[in-house]
Amino acid sequence: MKPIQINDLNWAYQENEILKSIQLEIQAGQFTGIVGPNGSGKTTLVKLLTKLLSVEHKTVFINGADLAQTSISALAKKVALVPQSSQIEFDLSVHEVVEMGRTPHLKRFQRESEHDRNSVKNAMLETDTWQYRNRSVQHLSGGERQRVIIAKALAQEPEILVLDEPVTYLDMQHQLNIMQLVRELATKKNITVLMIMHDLNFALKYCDQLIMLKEGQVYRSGKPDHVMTVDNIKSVYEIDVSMIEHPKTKKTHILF
Amino acid sequence: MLKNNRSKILFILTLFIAACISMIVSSTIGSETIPVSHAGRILLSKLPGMRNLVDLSAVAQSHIRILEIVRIPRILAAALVGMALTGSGVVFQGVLRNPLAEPYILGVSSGAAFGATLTIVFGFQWVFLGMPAISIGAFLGAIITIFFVYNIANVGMKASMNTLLLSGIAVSFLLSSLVSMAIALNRDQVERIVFWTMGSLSSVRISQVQVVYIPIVLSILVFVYFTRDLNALLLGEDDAVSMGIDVNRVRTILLAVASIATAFSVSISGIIGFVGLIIPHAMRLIVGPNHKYLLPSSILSGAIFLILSDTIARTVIAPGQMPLGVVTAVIGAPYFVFLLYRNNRKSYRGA
Amino acid sequence: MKRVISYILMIMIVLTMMACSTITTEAPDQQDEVNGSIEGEIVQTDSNSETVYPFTITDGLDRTLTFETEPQTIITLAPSTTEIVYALGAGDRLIGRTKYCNYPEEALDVASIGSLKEPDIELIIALNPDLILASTHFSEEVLLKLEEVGLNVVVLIEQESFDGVNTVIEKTGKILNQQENAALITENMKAELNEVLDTLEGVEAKSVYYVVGYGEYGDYTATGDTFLHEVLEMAGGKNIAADGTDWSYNLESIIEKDPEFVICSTKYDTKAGIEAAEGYNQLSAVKNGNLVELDPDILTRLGPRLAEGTRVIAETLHPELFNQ
Repeated sequence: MKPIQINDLNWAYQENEILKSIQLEIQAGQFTGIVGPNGSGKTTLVKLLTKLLSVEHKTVFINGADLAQTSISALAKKVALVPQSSQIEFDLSVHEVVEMGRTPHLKRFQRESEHDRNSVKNAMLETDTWQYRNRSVQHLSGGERQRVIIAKALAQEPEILVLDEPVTYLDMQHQLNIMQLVRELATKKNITVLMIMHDLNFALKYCDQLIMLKEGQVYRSGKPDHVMTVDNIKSVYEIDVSMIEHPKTKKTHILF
Repeated sequence: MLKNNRSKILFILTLFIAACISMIVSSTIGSETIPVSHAGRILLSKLPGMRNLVDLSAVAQSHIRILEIVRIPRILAAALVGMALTGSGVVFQGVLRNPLAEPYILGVSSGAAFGATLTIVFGFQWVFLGMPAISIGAFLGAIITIFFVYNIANVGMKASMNTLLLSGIAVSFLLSSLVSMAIALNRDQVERIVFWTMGSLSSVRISQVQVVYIPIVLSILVFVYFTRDLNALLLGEDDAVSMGIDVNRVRTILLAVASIATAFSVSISGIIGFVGLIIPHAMRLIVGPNHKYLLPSSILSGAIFLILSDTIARTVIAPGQMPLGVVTAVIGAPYFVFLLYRNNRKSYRGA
Repeated sequence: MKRVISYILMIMIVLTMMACSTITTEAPDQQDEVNGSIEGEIVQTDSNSETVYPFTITDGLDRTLTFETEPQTIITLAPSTTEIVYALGAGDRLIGRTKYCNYPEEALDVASIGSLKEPDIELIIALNPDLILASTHFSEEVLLKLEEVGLNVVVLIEQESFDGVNTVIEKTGKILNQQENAALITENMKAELNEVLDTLEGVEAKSVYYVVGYGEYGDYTATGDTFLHEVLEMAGGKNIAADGTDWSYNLESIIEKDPEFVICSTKYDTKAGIEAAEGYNQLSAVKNGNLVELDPDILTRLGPRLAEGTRVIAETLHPELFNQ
């Protein structure tokens, strides 16, 4: 039973076909990256997987269950999303925001338990946001706020974590930290991670699997080395690149 | 803002006690002077089971009637209207994610005014369940308007919040101009229509309170039930869904219930602006946007504020009656400006 | 003849006293037979009759009220009603009136209970009147509230006409046991009105416009569907706004018809305002000094001064016919 199984997914907005015949299997406990140029359908795919857009019956299965038949609240217990940007116009404290990650696991009038409090705290420690816990979210920088949202998703203790370009606004140190953290979630905690990314070198470095989308279709999927080739990049992104070997890590790097 | 969760809870408890006290104190104040001890005894005798234990022999019959028939219904109505309007205000601001939202934003007030105007102009006289015709007209006007506004905005299954707002504004404009037209064609009713729109509790009867109190209390319970959902909505639609909130369903339920609560309160009090917009803001400045504290503190301070305002409305120019909507604006606006000023000064200095 | 009258008077006094003390079913029945009226109906009675209590009346909203005894304390909720009460000689019973009740002057000494639409209920309860008299401009919500308190409210609304005013005065007279005075008032009004009508017999009416409102908020007048229009015509005027409805008119028509007289209110500096108002200041009436300000209270209150008001208008329009 795969965490995510997609069978012949098609999606159109008004007259435009955004996704065509998507056939995918996401592996459990692995870090899968989704790459592709703008407009290739990455965000739409993620929105469909998280029920922000509705899917047809029998096209998407989460842990074997038909997504179209799964309720939003049931899904939230398994899947957490870090969207591309979060606009918070209200003066909530960081702690209050991260705490909201526990919502799917709490019944209406149920109080937070010890376990809930620990999840929240750990999530903040892992994202290096614990020191901001009493500060208002509005007083944080864009990058700090993004870490808070990631912490909230972590507090949700999901089996599947979906992230849409989560590190775009972060400084280098935090970009690397988050990528490392997310990678460890997959390897150490066996969480299935699905991330849309723009940085092709990060995709190469951190992902176990890659999905490359072009014009709404899966162009290539599989191991990063197989997917991220000069020819594929040329074909999908229409740019010329070179590959070199990193002197220290011996890993492949893309030069633009 | 209060930093500590504990101090926030203390604040809410204090508000609760203040609400009880303000109800008791207002009952002793009015254009007729009634000694506090007498008022206290009358109130006590109203509690279930207490009638035979309280000695009312020294209390004037007219004073008993004044409390029973004039003051107590007004105070209870003020409390209920205050709670309904502020609770709805909190909900509208949270659901529409717009700090300028308030209970009348989807057309409830113009719908109610239109219903009331039609009742006045056509001289309807029926009384139903102890509610005079004008209350019923206002209520129906409000409900029908909300229905229209939702349906205009509901293209496909999703009502976009912006479309809803625009639809509300457009319908409000239309209905307001129809009210003006009705006034122009019925000049002899101008006073009655205009004074209704300024809001008043001067002829509220206990039977009306009995009709509205269940819907209003139930509505508030619904708001409290959705506390976590309201919090989740603050982060945005995408985040809320990812936390398991069925955003469309929750929004529709909350907006409908808040609109109904507002319609009930408008039917007995006329249009009392300002309360539903400003009190949630004031409370947000004190306890923050977390609805766990924001809802109860807003509802309680709404009740207190309206009880005090109505007490002023019925005494300041006695025997004349000051319109309640005027009192709430005149008192509330400067206080809010003061709160804003103090808050901005603090954050400028670096929180 | 005199003896017979005094005997009748004595019997009536005795019977009234009996009715006032303890109530037996016989006395009222006898009285009803004598007067030929049945409980609940208002019928023209002899001018020398006394009201017998308990007395039941049906008011203008088809509500029936019964008074066990003669009401001793009254609150009035309309200026016209206040005037009627004083005219009936019952002014000493008045314990509350609206802030608009300014005639007669003694009324100003009585406690004010606020406006017609939003009176101070607490005050009314505290004053605890035997009778509350209301007229038009009375709101349903206030009525419900007062009924809840258990006070007797009589809402006197009749047709807007001299007959209607007479009916109101008579009914009020009945309730207050001042039927003799009521009859006197109505007869005097009738006489005064007839005198005016006779003097104006065959006289050509003068064109007139009555200003109710003017200026930026619109032009308002006694249009053809109003009672004030009838008063103007009875007073020898030809109301140029007879073709209008709902009190609403327009400046263009006024200028076009250019009335000989324009009547306005003495209140709020109306005269000066009209003399300065654009369009109005070009009217012949204004230029010729025929813009006359009259006390609107005697013209519009449906009370005992209505005939006097009609006479005042007639005197204004046809000064040469009335000894001025």
